[in-house]
Amino acid sequence: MRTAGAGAAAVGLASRLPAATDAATEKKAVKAAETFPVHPVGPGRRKTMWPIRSELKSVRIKHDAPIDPVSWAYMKELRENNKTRMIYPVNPYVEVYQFRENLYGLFTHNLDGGGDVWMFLTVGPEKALLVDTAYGLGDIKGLCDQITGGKPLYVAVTHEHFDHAYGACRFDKVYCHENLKPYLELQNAHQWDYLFDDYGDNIWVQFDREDLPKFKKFEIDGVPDGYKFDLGGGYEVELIFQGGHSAGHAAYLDKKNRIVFTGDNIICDTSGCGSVNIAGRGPHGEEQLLSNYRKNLKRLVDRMGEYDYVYPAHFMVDVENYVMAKELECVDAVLANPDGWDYWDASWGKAATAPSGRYMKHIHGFSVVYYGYNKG
Amino acid sequence: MITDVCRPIATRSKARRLGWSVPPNLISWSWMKLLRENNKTMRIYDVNPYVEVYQFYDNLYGLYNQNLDGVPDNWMWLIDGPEKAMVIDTAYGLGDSKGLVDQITGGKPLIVANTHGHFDHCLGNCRFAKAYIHEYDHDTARANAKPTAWDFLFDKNGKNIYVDFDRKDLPVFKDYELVAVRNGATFNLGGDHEIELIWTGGHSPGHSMFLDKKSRYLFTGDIVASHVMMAGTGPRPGLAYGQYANLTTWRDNLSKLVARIDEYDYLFPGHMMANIENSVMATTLEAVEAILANPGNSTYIEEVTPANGIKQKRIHKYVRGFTTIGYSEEGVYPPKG
Repeated sequence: MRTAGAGAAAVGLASRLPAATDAATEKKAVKAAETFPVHPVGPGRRKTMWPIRSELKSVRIKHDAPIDPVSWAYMKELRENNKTRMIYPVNPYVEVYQFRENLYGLFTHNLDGGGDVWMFLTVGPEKALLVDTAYGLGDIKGLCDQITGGKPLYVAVTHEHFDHAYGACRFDKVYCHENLKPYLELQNAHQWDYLFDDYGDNIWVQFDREDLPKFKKFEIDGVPDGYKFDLGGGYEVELIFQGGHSAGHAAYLDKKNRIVFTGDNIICDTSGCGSVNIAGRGPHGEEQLLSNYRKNLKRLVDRMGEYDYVYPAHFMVDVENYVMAKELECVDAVLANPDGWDYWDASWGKAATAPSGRYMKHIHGFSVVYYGYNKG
Repeated sequence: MITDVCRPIATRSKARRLGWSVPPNLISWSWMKLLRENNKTMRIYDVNPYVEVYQFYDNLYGLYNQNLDGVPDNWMWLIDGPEKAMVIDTAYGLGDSKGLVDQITGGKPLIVANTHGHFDHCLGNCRFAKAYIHEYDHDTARANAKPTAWDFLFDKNGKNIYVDFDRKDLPVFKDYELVAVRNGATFNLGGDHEIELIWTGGHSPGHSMFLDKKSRYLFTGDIVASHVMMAGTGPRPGLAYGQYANLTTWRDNLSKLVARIDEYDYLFPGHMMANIENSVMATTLEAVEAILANPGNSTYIEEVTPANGIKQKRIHKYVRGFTTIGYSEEGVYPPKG
């Protein structure tokens, strides 16, 4: 919150002027100060990510990379005008949206500088399934219990990244694709430390540190591709292995609602679904190559008859299913000619000391695939 | 096989979508689903059961019309000023649009204006006594306004093609006063509430935006919109002032609009996604400059067939973080001589 606006600057300047000898001189001096050309927010009020009205307990301080205007327009309409929005007292950090009779989107701030995130809660006849856990800020389990009326809950994550899996320790047991297990085992009591500076102040989002989880070990059930969660009465959700964004990235197909939860592999901001020739450094890192993601994406495209809508883990949801086919076209174009990008950015990874190139290729009608590519 | 499907959006509107000539893109349809199914301000008035009314701000209403000719649905924007109200674009005039506007504003005197002279933005003008339009689109709009203008919405058996509605709810054509105005024309809605017409060209020779100087909205018409920003169709035989329907004209005028970015916060296009941050104007300018520097370096090229049945080669250039600019080879530079 910067306070050095035009008004403050003008007052400061006036107070440094020589003492006025008479009223007319004083008036002239104040006038001069008032017309001093200080721009309140710098030259050009170019708006990107202007604050969205919110009643969340957490307050955004800053983002790292700017979010695109499509995502922002979507979130503005959703968060300011959606009639299903609820904030439950049990967890004031989460906005709850009802997308289907039995499907809830749990929106929460990304506690670092990345894009804000979704958790999705599907309530079946006997059991419920939570896909992703965000950072675990606030009582997520209590919130799920309140929405489902205390039904038994499966918890699964699309991938291991901070903003999707750090809330896992709020639960006793978490499901994931088998490749992901060694990554989730690295979680520990200090994983949230980077959200605070050396003075203990919040860096990206203001919230009460006490509301983060107290870390405890949780059971990790790594399951194979095709594993089915039974929510009762024949209500099935299937894990479909994807790779790409992470070595163990999974999508979850809700066959009843005909919806697929695709995590971070397709997003209306930028879709980071692998690199041309830079494998991940962890176990099964080769699954982060675009050529491998392509095979798994193709499997999902071939099953488009089983879902109508795609639910990415950030921003825009309820995207028509053919977005996956458009992404496949885009990935194929990248693989055929990695130099055929539409634009590129210097990208700074967390704790990186030098930027790396991040190349962008347009997904027709949607956003971009961004990919790493080592030309050397 | 890829099929671009836009699954139906739940609505209580009397109009029912039958099909598209050019379907909306993914980002637009997803935003529309969000808006139309769950926006808490949505209202359908008895006086016009075809139009969904959304209140975006205290003094700004969006009147959502399903586009009768099969391209993405269109907006009529209604600014409720202190003494007068202003309607920007009038769609096809399906249903009693004047009665609807009067009911929302409580019968305030009305100013009607068009962003450009295409059917889906000005055929509804004849519901009103008078409308304003930029001088370069005046003749096109004038020529479009005739009793047979709506005939192409029906097949040879008289059946609706793209949207199902009751044909008798179309306007009975009557002549109205169409006033040609120049770039910079200002409309006063009472007190200091002023709306300025800003000429852009590009999409059509006289295509213009409207700047609400008081509320800081910019109504961007068809040239900045989330489905596709058709900006350089090029001169066509018989098109008045066709020398302005190109990207160079658009670049020159867009540069001036970007220089005035201090004057507006949010964009309200003529179709689809609305309430978009002004930064899109600046990124669009970057993309237009890139096309002019190298028109061959497009993002992709496709063939489309609008309601007139004439196939078009449409060249697309991606605007970072938004959508694509659509243009033709003839629409990049002004015609020679």
